[in-house]
Amino acid sequence: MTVTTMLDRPAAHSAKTIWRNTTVVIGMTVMVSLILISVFVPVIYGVDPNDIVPIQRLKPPSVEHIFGTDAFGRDIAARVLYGGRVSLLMGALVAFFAITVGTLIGVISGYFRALDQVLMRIMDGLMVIPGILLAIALVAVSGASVRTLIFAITVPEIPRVARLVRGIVLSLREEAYVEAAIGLGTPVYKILWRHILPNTFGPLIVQATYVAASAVITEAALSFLGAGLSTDIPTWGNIIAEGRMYFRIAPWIIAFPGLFLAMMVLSINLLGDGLRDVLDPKSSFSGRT
Amino acid sequence: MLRFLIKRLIATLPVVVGVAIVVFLILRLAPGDPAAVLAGGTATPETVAEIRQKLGLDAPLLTQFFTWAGLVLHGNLGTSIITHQPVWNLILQRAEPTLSLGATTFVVSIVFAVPLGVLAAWYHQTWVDRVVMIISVLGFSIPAFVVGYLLVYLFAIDLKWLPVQGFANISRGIGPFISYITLPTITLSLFYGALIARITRASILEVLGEDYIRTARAKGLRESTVMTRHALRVAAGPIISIVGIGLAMLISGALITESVFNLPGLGRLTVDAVMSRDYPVIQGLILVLSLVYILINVLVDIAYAVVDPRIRY
Amino acid sequence: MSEPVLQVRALSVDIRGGGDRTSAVANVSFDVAPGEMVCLVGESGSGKSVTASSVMGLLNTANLRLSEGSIKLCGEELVGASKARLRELRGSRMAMVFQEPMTALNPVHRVGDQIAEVLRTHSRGMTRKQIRARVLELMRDVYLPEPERLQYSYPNQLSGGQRQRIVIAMALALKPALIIADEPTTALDVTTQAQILSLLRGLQTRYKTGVLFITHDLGVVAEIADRAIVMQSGRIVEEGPALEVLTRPKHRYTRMLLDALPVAVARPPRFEPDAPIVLAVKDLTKTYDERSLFRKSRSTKAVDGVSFDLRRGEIVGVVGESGSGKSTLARCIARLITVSDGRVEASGSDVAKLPNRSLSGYRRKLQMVFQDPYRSLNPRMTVAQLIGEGMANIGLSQREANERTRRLLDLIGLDHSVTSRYPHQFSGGQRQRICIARALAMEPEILIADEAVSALDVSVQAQVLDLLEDLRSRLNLAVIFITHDLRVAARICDTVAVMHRGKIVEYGRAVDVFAAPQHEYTKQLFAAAPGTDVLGQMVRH
Repeated sequence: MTVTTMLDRPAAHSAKTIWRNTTVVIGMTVMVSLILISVFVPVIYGVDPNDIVPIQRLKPPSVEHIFGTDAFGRDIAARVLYGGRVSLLMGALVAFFAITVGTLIGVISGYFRALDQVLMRIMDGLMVIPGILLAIALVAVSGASVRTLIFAITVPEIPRVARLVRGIVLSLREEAYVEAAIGLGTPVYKILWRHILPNTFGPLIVQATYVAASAVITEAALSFLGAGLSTDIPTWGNIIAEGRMYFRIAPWIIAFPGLFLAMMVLSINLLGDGLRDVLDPKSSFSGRT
Repeated sequence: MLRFLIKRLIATLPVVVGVAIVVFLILRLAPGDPAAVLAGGTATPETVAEIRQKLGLDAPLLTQFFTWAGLVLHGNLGTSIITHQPVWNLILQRAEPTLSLGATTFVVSIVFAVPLGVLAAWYHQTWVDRVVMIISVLGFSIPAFVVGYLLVYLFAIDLKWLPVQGFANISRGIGPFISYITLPTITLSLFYGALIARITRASILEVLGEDYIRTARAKGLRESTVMTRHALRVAAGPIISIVGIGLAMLISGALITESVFNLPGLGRLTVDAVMSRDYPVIQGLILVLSLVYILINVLVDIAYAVVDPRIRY
Repeated sequence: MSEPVLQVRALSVDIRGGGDRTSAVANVSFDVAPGEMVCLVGESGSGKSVTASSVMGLLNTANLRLSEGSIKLCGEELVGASKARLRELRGSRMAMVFQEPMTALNPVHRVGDQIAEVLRTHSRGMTRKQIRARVLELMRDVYLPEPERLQYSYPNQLSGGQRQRIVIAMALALKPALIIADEPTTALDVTTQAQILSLLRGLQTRYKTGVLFITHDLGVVAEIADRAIVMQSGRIVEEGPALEVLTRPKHRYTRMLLDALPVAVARPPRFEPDAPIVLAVKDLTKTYDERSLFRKSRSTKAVDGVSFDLRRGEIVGVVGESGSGKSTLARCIARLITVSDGRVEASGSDVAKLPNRSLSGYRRKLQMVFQDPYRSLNPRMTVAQLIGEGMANIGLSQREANERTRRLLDLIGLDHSVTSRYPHQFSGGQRQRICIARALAMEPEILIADEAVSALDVSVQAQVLDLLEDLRSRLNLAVIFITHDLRVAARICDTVAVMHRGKIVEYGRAVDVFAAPQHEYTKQLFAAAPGTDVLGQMVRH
C-alpha cells in the first residue's frame, strides 16, 4: 500500500517513544522500586534477617513484625527484603552472561557456515533438556553457591539467545545492504559490527528482560526444590520452601515472599512486553520460543 | 509419510547424541569435584577415592563416555546410590502421576488458551485483547509454587471443595482422580496456557496481515470464518510447533507443581535425588525426560506437516 | 449509455495523522459502465489503490478514513452501508483481483475449495454437486489445464500465472457486475502478463462485467483499456477514451508520464567498437546442488555456459524473465557468490576462482547497484557514512573521502547538506542515486546495475536512466545492465544479451536485436510486451 509506505518511517527508537508506552512505565516503576528497596534495605529496615527469637515463633503480621515471623522467630519482612538481593543479582548477572555468550555463539554460527552445524547441534542438545533439571544437575554436582547458581541458571538460557541472534544474522546476511557492503570490500568484522549487530540490539534488550525474569523464577524454584542457597542467605525461594511445613497455620511465611517474587517477575515481564512492542514489533513471540 | 517419519527420526539422532554428551559432561566438567560433593563435606579422602572409582571417574574421559553410552544403549541407566534399585525402575514407578498431570494440563491449556488467543487477535487493541494479555502475563510471571499454594489455600483449606494434596490413581475411579488432579492442573495450565494464548494471538496477528486474508474478506466471508478457516488454519502450524517447544517448560513446571501438591511423581523423585545427591538418578531423569521431549517434538513435526501442505513429506 | 455499474462521486479519503499530506484521495468522481474496461493510471502514492479499497469497503482503517463522497454499485449506495450488506455484496456483486498472485491464495486450502468457498458463502441454494460442477466450469473458463486434477492442488504447486487464473476464477464465480483488478499483472513475467490480459479482456466481454483496472503501466493501458483515468497525488488529472489520452494527452502530468516512457526502439551503440575489453566472461556456469540423504542429489544450472565481452564505455543489457538466471549471473560476476565453472577475466587475471580475501582489488574495479533502493542502504547509517564506507575500506583519509563525497553529490544531483541525513528521509529515486554515488566512490571501471530502476516509478525511472547514461559518457564506465523490462533495455543499452533458462539465446547490437529478433524466444518476448502497437505508433507520430 503506497500510502502506508509513505508514512512508514523506520521508527526512531527514541527514549520518548519508549516512555509513551504505559506497560513499560508500570514495569519500570515497580522494578526500580524493588531494586531500590533491596539495595537500601540495611538503611531503611534495621532488622537482621537471621536474628532468631524463639519466643516470637510463627507470629502473624503485626505492627512489630509487619509480615509476621517464621518457625525460628525470624522477621519475615527482613528476610523478604534481603531475599530480593539474591533475586536481583541472579536476574542481572544471568541476563548479562546469557546474552553475551549467546550473542557470540549466535553471530559465529550465523555468519560462519562451517561452525554452524556443530554449534547448533550442541544448542539443540541443551535446549531439549528441561531447564530446571539441567540447573538442578549442575548445582547437585558442584554444590550450591552464588557462582554455581549463576552458571547453572545461565547455561539453559544460552541456546535461546544464540538461536535468536543466529536467526537475525541469517536473515540479514541476505539483506541487500549487507551484500552491498561485501561488494564495497568491507571486512567481515566491520560487516558484523556495523551492519549486523546493531539490528540485534532491540530484540536482545527484550530477550534480556525475559532471561532475567526466567532467572529470577528459576533461582526461586531451585531454592524451593532444595537445590538453592542455604537459608543463612535468605532468598524468596528458600523462605517459601521453609514455610511449606507450616503452610496451614502460618500462610504468611509463603504469602509475602510469593507476592514479592510475583511482583518482581511481573514487572520485568511487563517491561519486556512493552519494550518489545516498541523496539521489536515484528517478532512478537520470538522471546518465548 | 513413512519416509518423512524416518527422515525426521534420523534427524533427531544428532540431538540425542548431543543430549547424551551434555548429560555426561555435566558430571565430569562442572566446577568442583563431583566425587567430593557426592561424598559430602565430612568424607575422608579414602571415601572420596572410593566413590570416584565406583563412578568410573578415574578412567580417561572418552573411555568413561563410551562405557556409559554403551550401558545406556542397553537400557541400563545405572543404579541408585541410595536405594540400589535400577534407575529405570524408579522412573517407571513414578511416571504415572507426572504423565497424568502433563496430559490434563496439555488438554486444558489448549482448550482454553487457543480460543482466548484467537479472540485477543480478533479484537486486537480492544479491552478483550488487553484482558487476555494481562491474564497471560500474570500466568507467565507468577511461579507455579506461588499460584499452587494460593489455590490450595482458597479451594482446599478455606472453601474445602477439594483435597489439599496428594494423588489418586485413575484406577481408583474417575471421581477421586479428578478431585486430586484439578488444582495441580489449574496451577500448571495457567502457566502453559499463558504461553499458548500468547503464541496463538501473535501467530494470528501475523497471518492477518497476509494478502490471502484480504482475498478472503474480498470474497465476502464472515469475519468468524476469516478468523478460523483462514487465519487460525494457517497459524496452526506455528502454534503447534511452539506448543511442542513449550513442552520443555511444561516438564519443568510439572516437577515444581508436583512438589507443591505432593504428587508421588518424577518431580518428587527429582527432589529426593537432589536432597540425597543421588547422581545416577538425576542423570537418568534428565536423559529420559529429554528423550521424551525429543520424541514428542517428532510427533509435533508430523502434526505440522499434516496441517500445512507446504511441508513436503 | 446504460446505468453505470459503479458511480463514484466526490470521494475523499483522509490519512490519519498524515504529516505533509492529509488526504490520500481528494474529490474523485468517475463511472464504470457495464462491460467497460476502465484503467486507473498513476504512479505510487497517486491514490489509485486507495480508491479501489474504498469501493470494496476494505480500507485499512488504521491509517485511512473515508471522509466524504458517494460510491454507488448498480445504483446502491455503499458509503455508510452496513458491514453485513457490504459483505453480501463482496464476492457476489463486486469482486477483486490482487497484485500478488503468489500470496493472494491461502496456502493451506486446495485451490478448488477456495473457488467453491465463494459459491458456498453467497448462494445457499446450490448443492454440493452443482458447486463442484461450477468450479470446474470456472477453471475451464480461465483456461487452466486439467481442472479435474488441478482443483485438488495447493497454491504452492501452481505457477504465478496459474494462481492468478484461480484468483480470476474466484472473482468471476458469481458473475459480479464489477471486478476491481489492482495491478493484477505487475508481478508476472511479460509473457504471462500478455496471457492474463487477453484472458481478462475476453472474459469481461463475455460476462459483460465492468472492470476497474488499476495500473502504473501505460503499456497495459494501451493494450486493454476502453477508457483511462490518470491520477496524481490523490486527484484525477485527466480522463477520456484510452487511445485519446495516450495519443493526445491534455494534462502536463500525462504528457510527462508518456515522455518518460522508454520506447522499444533501440539506438545505435555509442561506444568505441575497438575500446579495450575490461571484462571477459567465458563459459560461466553456476550450479546449485540439492543434497539429499535419500535421493540422488540433483543439480540445477542457474547459469549455463555464458560468455560475453564488455568494452570500456559499453552498456550491455542482460534481458530475461524471472528465473532466467540474469541476477545469478550478476552475482557471479560481482563475486558475491562463488562461481561453479568458467572464467571471469578482468585486467588479465581470472577472478572466478579467487578466494574472497584476494578480491579487494577486483571489488574496487567493479561495483554494483541493486534493485531495491529501500533495502540496499543500511537504515542506521547517514549518507556520508554510506558513501564513505567503501572509501574507508580502501584507506582513503576522512578529508579525501569528504571531498570525493561532495563531488559525487554534485554528480548525482543532490545537495551537499544531505550528508547527515538517513536513508528513510529520501524518496526511492533519491536513494537509488545515493546507491549509485556509493558505487562510484570506488572509482570503478565496471558498474553492474541489477534491475536498478525496476522498483521506481516511470518518471523517476527516466531520471535515473538519464543519470546512468550521463555518467557512462562522462566517466567512460562499462555497465552491465540487468533488466526484465525490454523498453528500458532498448532505451539505454548498446548491446543486448537475452537470457532464457540460464543461457544466452541471443546476443548482439541492441538495434539489430530489437529490429529483427532471430531467436524464437526473443520473438515471443517482444510480442508479449504490452501496448507495443499503440505506443510504437505514437513514436512515429
